[in-house]
Amino acid sequence: MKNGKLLIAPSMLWLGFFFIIPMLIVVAVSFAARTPYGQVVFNWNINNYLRFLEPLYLSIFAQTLIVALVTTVVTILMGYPLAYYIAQLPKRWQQPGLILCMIPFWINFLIRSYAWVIILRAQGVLNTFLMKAGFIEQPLQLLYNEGAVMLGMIYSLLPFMILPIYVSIEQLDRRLLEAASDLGAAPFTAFRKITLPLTMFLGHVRGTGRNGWRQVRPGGEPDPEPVPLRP
Amino acid sequence: MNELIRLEGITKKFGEHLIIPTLDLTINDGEFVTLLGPSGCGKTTLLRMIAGLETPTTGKVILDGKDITKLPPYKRNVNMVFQNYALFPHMTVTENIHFGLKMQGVPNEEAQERINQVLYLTQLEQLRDRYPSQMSGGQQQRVAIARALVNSPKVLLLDEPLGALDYQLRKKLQLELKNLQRGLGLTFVFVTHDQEEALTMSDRIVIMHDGVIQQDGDPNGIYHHPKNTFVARFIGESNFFDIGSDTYALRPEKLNLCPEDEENADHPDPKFFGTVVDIVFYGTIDKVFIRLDNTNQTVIAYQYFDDVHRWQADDRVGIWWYDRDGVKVEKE
Amino acid sequence: MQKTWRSHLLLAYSLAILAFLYVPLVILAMYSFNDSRINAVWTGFTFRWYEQLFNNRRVLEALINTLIIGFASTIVSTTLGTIAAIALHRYKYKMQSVINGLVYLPILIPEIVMGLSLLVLFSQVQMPLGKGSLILAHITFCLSFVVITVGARLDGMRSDYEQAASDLYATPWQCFRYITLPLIMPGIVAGALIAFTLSIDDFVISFFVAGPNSTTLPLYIYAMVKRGISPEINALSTLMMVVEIILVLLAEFLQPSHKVKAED
Repeated sequence: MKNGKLLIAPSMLWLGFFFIIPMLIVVAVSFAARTPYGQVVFNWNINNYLRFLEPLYLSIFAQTLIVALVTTVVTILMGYPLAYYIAQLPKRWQQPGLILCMIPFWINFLIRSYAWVIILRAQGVLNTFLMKAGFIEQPLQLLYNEGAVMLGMIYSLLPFMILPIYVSIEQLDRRLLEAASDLGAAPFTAFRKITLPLTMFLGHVRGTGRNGWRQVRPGGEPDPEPVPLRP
Repeated sequence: MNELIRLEGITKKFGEHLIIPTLDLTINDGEFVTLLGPSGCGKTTLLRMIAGLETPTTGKVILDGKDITKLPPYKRNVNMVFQNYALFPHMTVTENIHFGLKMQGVPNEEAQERINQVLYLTQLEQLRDRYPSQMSGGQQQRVAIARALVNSPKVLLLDEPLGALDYQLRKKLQLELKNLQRGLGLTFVFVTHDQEEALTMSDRIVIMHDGVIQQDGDPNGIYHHPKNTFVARFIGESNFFDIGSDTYALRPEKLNLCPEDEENADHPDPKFFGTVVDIVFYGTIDKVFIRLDNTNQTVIAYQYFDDVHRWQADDRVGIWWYDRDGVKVEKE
Repeated sequence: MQKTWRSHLLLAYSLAILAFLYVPLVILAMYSFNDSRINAVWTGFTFRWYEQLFNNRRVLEALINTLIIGFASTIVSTTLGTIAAIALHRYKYKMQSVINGLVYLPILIPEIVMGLSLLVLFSQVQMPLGKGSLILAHITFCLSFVVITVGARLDGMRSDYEQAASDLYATPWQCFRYITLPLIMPGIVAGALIAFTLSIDDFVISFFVAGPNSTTLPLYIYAMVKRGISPEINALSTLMMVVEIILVLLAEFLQPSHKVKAED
């Protein structure tokens, strides 16, 4: 098959058109300006980047870094022993163990976030339990604070800390490496799911919060600006 | 005998790496030819060229008078038994054997008949509906042979087909294969690195090293008259003695030992002297290791269980042989 | 003695972490059967919220949208991705690293960036937002996962099967049809299941490129949550969890290592 090499073409064209070109447009727009009517004007400037240096964005950036750091440390502390435990199980139990850790990741993150809202809200499971048990008289404000945000981050990211740690523990054993790659594109997914929420969190704090964590954020955050390019 | 395959001026490069410098080989109809050599000597590459799985960089492959150099594998009437059998895991024994006939468009009735024939021939009738994963290595090996044979190829190519089996089974299958080949009068080109296997089975052995044919001949000739030190060393055990500017190869069983100070012996005079360094028990024989005087070279001679004289370590010995047993060999 | 004491502690700790992962989900599912609308007190078992869900026209619309988009993007991404994986497995390309980069990048890039950039694209080419734009977007982010899943299966397959087929008179097409395709089928099905799961699960990218009348289930859940807590959300979430877990486990069992033994 002389033309067999062309089999790669459809996918590459698809990704070129629906992935690369849109990215390039976004990069181009980042150097553009906006008219009062919301039109994009390509007058090539770096004003959009300079806005990063405004105190508001700098403090958001610092806040993001702190949350990221705490989340990382806590997920390592929680994930390492579990990964280690799985790695030293008999071989045939390792794969089920890993799958057990990965299942929560496959569940929609809106649903996962919502589960915590049910537990933490004023009339939630935890407050109800504490009041019935007589520990408290007034419901505690468990949601909408930094602690809740971190809890949410830790909960979402924990599965992806477990997998890379497991892989590195077992790195020397080729057969187990195979088992890990057997979990689909697990290392990549892990990377994606660690990088992604952190970057998303940045976007979220900026007020374009478009995910379930909106529910656990402090109230009174300004509403997102309308996306100018939406027709 | 009619010529069946001719390889003409074959060279093969993988990238910058020269595997086969230049090579000519003719294989006759009905022969059991073994390509023998250490791994990496180019024997498998040569076999795959006949199958069409590799193309020579230069040169021609001629099958039955037709130039097939450029023909893809599926247009060549040769079949191969792969090293790890390569049985299709999602097909039963019968489906595996049927595959080649189906691809050639052989009518179903005829196909069934031919399948039954090879199943009988390879004693696989009981296993016809098994999947490869449900069979032992030896059984899989038979399926691989049946799958190739059913197509009545002009040549059957076998790439280390017994390599994955244990010693006992290998011995048994060597005989079966040889009988099968004789019975059918088929041409077999067999690749192995096991010299014992080659000696047992072949009509003709082609010894290769670094892509070059070292010697080409019948097992007897190759064993007793190796052309060079490589062949002498690779087939069986050999001792080398430099006499003048010539090198002679001698099999251990051709070396005779006598006490250093023996007088009036009724055999030729010893040519070399040395000291026994070790004696190792090998069942019917003992191997006697002797370090030659004035060199660091150690040679091996045999002492048989019924020999009257028993050698001890540190004995001084003379080494002699009949001139007809010394084979003058080229140095590598 | 110390060793067993330690291993017991490790086991307890591991179970606690697993509980942390699963208890919220179990509570979520449990309260979808609770007879009280407003608070967390258990007042009795009921299927009421599920009934309401199935009688809710908008939920059913969202379900149908989700399935249409899911199936369409799965079929296209699985076909394109399988072809690409085979090409990548069989041929060496001069621009191999560029091609690999193009395959992996969509997985590494944050969803929010992909969603935004796709929205920008659709508005630049004046494509109306709706099911069409959602399908195009979903195909884009599913494609790489299919390429990788099928590619893993191909890499795990011994190369001599294809050679043996070719030696047994199979043309390249027959070789693909009768040998390669059946052998990589579990990989293709796994890839398709992953694509389908990603599609019905996606919120972020869909949020950007959805238009009128193309609300999917995750978008609908988001809208419901914004309006306030209700047991119907629990019911819908529970159903989605069950479906997603089943799909993922199915994909898992189709992956190579479970069959390796049978094939060697």
